[in-house]
Amino acid sequence: MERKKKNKLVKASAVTKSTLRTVSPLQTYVLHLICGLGLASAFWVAHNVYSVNLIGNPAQTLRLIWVIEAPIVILLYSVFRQNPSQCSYVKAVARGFLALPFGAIANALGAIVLGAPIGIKYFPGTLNWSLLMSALTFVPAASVFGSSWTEWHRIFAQTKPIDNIDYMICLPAHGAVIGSWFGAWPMPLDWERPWQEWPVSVTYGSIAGYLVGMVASFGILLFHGVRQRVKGD
Amino acid sequence: MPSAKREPSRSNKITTHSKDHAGHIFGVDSLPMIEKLQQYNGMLEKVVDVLESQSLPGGLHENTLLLVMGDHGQTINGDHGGGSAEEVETSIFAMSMKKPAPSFLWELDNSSCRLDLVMSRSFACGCNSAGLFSALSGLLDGWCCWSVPSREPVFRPLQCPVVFGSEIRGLGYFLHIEVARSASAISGHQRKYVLGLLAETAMLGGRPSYSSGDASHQLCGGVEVKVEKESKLSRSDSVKAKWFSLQLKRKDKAELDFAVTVSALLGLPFPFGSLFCFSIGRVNPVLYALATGIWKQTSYNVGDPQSPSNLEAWMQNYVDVLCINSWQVKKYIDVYSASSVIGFSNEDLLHVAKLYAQAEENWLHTLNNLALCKSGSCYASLGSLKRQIVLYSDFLASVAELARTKWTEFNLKRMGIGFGIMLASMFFHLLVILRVDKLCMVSFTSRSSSRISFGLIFSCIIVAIRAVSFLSNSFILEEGKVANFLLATTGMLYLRHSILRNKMVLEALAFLLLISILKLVIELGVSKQGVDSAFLKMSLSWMPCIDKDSPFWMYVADSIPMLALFALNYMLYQSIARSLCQGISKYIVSGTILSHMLITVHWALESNLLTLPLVLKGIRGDYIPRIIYAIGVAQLLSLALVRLFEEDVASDWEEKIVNKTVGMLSAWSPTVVILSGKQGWFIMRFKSLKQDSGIGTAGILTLNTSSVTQWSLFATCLFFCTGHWCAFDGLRYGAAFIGFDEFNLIRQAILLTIDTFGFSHILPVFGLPFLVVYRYTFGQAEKKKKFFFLQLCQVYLIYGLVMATTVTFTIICVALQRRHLMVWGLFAPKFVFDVVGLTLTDFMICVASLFYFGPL
Repeated sequence: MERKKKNKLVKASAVTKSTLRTVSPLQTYVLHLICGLGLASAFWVAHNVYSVNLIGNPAQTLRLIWVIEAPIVILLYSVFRQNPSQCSYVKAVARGFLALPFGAIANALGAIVLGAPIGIKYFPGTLNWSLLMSALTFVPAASVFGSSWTEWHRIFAQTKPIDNIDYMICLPAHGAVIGSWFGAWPMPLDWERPWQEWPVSVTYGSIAGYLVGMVASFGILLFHGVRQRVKGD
Repeated sequence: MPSAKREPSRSNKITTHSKDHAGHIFGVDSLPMIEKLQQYNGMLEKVVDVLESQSLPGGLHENTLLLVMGDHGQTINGDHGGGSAEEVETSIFAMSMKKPAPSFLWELDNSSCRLDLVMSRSFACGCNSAGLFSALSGLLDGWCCWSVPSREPVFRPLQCPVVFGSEIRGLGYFLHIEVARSASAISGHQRKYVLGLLAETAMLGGRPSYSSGDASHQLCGGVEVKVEKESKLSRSDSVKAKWFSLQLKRKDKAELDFAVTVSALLGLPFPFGSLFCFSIGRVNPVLYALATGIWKQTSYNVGDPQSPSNLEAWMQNYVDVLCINSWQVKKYIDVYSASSVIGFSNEDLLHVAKLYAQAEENWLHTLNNLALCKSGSCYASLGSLKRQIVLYSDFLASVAELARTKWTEFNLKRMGIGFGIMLASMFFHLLVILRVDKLCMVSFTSRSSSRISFGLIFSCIIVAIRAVSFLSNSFILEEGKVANFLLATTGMLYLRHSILRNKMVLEALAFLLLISILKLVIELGVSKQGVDSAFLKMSLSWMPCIDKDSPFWMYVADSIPMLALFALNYMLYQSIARSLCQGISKYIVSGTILSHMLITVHWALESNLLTLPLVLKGIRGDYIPRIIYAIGVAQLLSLALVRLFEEDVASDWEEKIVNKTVGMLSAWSPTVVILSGKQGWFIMRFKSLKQDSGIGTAGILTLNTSSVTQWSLFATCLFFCTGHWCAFDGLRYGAAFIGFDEFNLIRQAILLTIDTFGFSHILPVFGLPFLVVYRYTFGQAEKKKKFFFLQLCQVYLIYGLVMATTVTFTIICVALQRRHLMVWGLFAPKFVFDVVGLTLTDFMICVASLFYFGPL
């Protein structure tokens, strides 16, 4: 899936080892809860305020969702940025926003390679879907790690999360990607249901995967014990 | 509607499909289905109104017979095509504008307790309602009232759509109503339905209430409906139209009998031989009686239906029809068993012939009787006529039974044997793979770690997903896309892996690019058009302002394949120049380059890019392809000869293998390319095939499985990108005649096979050694060589196993779906393609093994 591509876009750079803000399970819980509520509220707004839904107007709904979800994610994850002494909050937020289009490109390319339809008709759907996917997978890592190649490599290529914030980035992102992969499976079936159209079932899959990933991340942090990163690891 | 008001022609037919569609998409229980049914209700009511308004004696529709029938039933989910009762049984509504048919209809099927004739309209809902489905809805209303005792039990046809809608499930059962008739009453058994209804509404303790609509309509006993025949008949005097709902089974009754019955009615010849099952039907007595009642009787007295002369005349008529019917069926059976390869068995034929002879004999006897009867009383022949009908019916029924067993049933034993062979072959593959693996382990202990790797599991999962997806017909239809999806997934994982190792990233990206091109081509190819026009369309969709017929775009579309071919030639030339190929391989590769040049010239000539003098045009047709074939054959022969006479030099075996592979591929490619025509895309692909092999070679870090899986997926994608699909109209018959104008079965079959399976089966098999050859560069030469051949052996085995697995699942799917409506359109071609592909692959693997494996 798409996760491998992300690394290409981030220039490798040296990482300064430094202390990391510790994240307690409570903070994890709050963060994931707010992210989940953000998604839910986005759906609520789409349904009740603009009276659009994912099946009928996928592009508009997806745009609403990512417009609401991306700032929440960026603002929240920027709090837990790496070496906060050298990197201000504003900078973390800025790089989060900067990462949004790049992640969208990576996700869109991945989707197209996997068989997403190309054409003017599908363009808005693909664009908004990939922006949403970027907000779910790419942006948190960008906010937290910036352009640190080794960290990206560790999270996405090696899948070796070490401390809490790693889990909080890694699991939901992988969940979203794997979820959208599975979400693509009903598409070829000949049921002729409207939700089998291109971005709809995939979006459902990715959101479901994202939620599962968040629950898993919280669960791991809660039950697996809080492993703090040892200095100089 | 307008045609109903106009002068009617002899027969009119209107076919609708939307109800079937609604059932398929939304299911039987759904709201759209109900809406559709109600829409048809309305339409039918209008039609019936028009017909009734003109059905008076002398009216336009005095003699009209309205038949409304489905061609099949459906399950609750809306599927059909299977063998279950609810799928093969369908209902038919027949309406004649004449006075009711005589009651001797009832006498005909006395022997069977399950009558074709289900109910008349008066039986169902009283006489106050018009409309075809009012019978249905009236009945359903009645049941509703029955189960809700407090409700005022009034028949309100078409006024409670909710009830009607919510009882659609009941409607299905209604069509399966079991009806028995005694001399005095009709009994409709709806025990199951009523009990279900009661259970659903939690009214199991309720008591029956009597409907006020009709005294004769008694709902007694909870499970039976009894209607006095006398009252029905007396009341039906006032009914102009007479409704019959006939329950017919498709396989042995409905369509089988329907065709002959209607043709008997219309006075047309019975259908003979056009479709098997239509030729052996029996003229349905009830339908025939209903209709002949219209046409025969001008002054028909309903109150005296037992009028002997009428009855006898009708029976006589019916026996005549049955006689012709039986004679024709017998003749058909004779002709069939004389001409068919696998006909009926002898004893079956004897049995049928005996029945027919018996019936004929009896008929002669009856005729004699009848001749006597002309002089005297005619009543005596009634019994013999009945007997005659029974005899003919027996004969026809036995023929139908025989035909059903022979024509509509599959040989389960053979299917089981074939499936067993596939399973055994898979098992054998696995065993040998494990054994080879063990051998590898023994010779190279260094590799013993991590036997169950991620790659192994992943490739197993991929193969399993692909195999299981064949169980769904949607996935069979979209097989190319699904294979591409899986291939892209492996490509993504591969990219991830290479990023993890920080090497070969570029190759992985190139591989992904290649996959996306493949996907694009598959999507374009799906539109069942040549790639040329697809390419044009694509460029048009990108640049909509450009005129489609503009010569510039034609020119571009023509020249792109040639450019691709030039690029390929350049690569081959480079490989010669780098002296990768030596000796005979060099000549072979140069032969390939020559062939490619010739192909380019051929295309240029065909596409009228260059205006050539007439002299040259004379050559253009056949010579160039033939030269190319000749070069290909010569290359193959020389390769084989070299293989036979080469001396074994252990030192440079690795290069030799590469040379051989390149030589083999290049020997095959021109033939395949020219056959595949101008689909320049996959020449690009062929180029990238090598590129891919470059990736594959160095990049495989886990066990072979993942790369082999990738390879086989790649082969599948190639099949679809080259414009083929798994149907017989997907064969590109034009390819068989490139270079030859006249037809020769064997030659053309070979060419067609090479075209169809060339890129997807032949080339990948010969290209497989690329996967292994660059992999291991450690150890001493001798050991390495042995290890290499073990690996190659294993790679071929795994490739065979992957193919066998998918084919096995295709077989399972086809076996399960053998009753499916689309079995000949979808499953059987898929089965044939897969099995031929598997056979060809196995054969090619044998050839390749002979070719590659030197004496160890």
